[in-house]
Amino acid sequence: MVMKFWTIATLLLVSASFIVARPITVTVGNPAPDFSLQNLEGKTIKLSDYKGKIVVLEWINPGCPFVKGHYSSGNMQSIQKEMTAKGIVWLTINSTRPDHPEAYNATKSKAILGEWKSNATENLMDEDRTVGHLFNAKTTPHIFVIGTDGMLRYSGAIDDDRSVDGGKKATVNYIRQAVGEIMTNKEVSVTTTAPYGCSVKY
Amino acid sequence: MKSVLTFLFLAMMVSEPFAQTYKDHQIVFASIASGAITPTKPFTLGIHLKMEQGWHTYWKNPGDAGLPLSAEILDAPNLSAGALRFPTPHKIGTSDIVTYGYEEEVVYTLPVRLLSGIVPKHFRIKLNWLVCKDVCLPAATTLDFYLDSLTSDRVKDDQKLLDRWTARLPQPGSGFNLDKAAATYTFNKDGSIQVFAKFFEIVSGIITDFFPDASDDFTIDLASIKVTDEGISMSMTPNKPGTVPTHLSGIVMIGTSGYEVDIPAAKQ
Repeated sequence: MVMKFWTIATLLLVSASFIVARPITVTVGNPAPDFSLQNLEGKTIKLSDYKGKIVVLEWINPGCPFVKGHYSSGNMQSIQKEMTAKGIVWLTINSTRPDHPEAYNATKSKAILGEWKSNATENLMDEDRTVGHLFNAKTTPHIFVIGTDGMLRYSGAIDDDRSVDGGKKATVNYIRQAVGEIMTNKEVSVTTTAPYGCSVKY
Repeated sequence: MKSVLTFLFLAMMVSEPFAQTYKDHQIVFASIASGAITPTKPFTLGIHLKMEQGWHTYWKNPGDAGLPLSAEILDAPNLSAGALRFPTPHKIGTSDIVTYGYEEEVVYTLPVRLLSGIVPKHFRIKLNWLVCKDVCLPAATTLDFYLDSLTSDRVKDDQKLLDRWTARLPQPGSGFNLDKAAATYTFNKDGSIQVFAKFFEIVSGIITDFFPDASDDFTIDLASIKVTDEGISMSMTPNKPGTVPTHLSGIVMIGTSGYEVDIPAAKQ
């Protein structure tokens, strides 16, 4: 009987390991999970610090040509400035593994983001990549918009100009569109798009 | 003296390959290949990228990351380029981030139509691409093409290259009865849609993978694509809530060969 119990228990464990083989990630329409990361000055920042506010998450890797394109054209700083002026919180998250050739540590990140005149509220380091995996961030940039109710409202590309040219040919900026709809109490019309960019260097 | 000058002039007319460099090292050579061109008829150009080991570039649907090559003909208003043809790619990347592309070498083919007159003796081809290894590097260049530079030896070599890569273009699915298929979908609890494509007249177990076309309406979870003896399943999220799939297109992989399919989809 004991043998039978352990056989069944082992089978259940094996089955469970197959079932949970892919990480459980947040999806649009569901609550964005809280997280805690250090900013470039070493201060701990939590998503829950901004409860009740619209939050934009921007996955970033300063070495990626798509990211460079959006910052060298001024596109990213411009939308950051526009959003933060409306009281929206903008957090950049860098999930590049520290031993990657393109890794920017906090010091290097501070220098490049200063040079680029980033207007983000906070720039966060995710060196153990936990938050990147939690949100299933695939590219840099990859954008997530969280509503005032803490629900994820948009996941995907910054715009529809799928190039390294920094949004010069974009006909729609999905952040502006989603935030505008949330602020006017409308349903977000485009909730998901395939993000474009470099792969996140996990 | 005249013959020397003529030789120098012809040598200058031959298009030089473009070398993309990284840290003073040449990592990609880009060149144009062409078979014999009859000045009054349509023709096909090959865009040849040779990459250093470890670097890769992308299919028309790059997958979760990356960028496909783009090509544009300049300085020839009487030429009209058709859709760039991408050879069958292979899957590159980790289980989390799936991309489709080419390593070491690829030749894209560009069909060119003649709208009027004859093929000009000189025109240019503007190219943009992205290669990645540990890092990703974009490249942009404009290559010159001189009709007079087509020596018989060059035409022969280029034609062999074009033939080799034309053979790697995805084939029509009808050749393998892959057009005899239907897809059904159901709704997942998380708002995504589960799609299952069933093939009615294929030998069980021969399909090895499915590389979907990029979609403006759905974000396909590429890591969710599964092949079973019965068909192919995957989950996708509508970009606009409420949108449902009407068809599923892409290439069905049988080993390293790709077969184009466009399968009608309906609710189960």
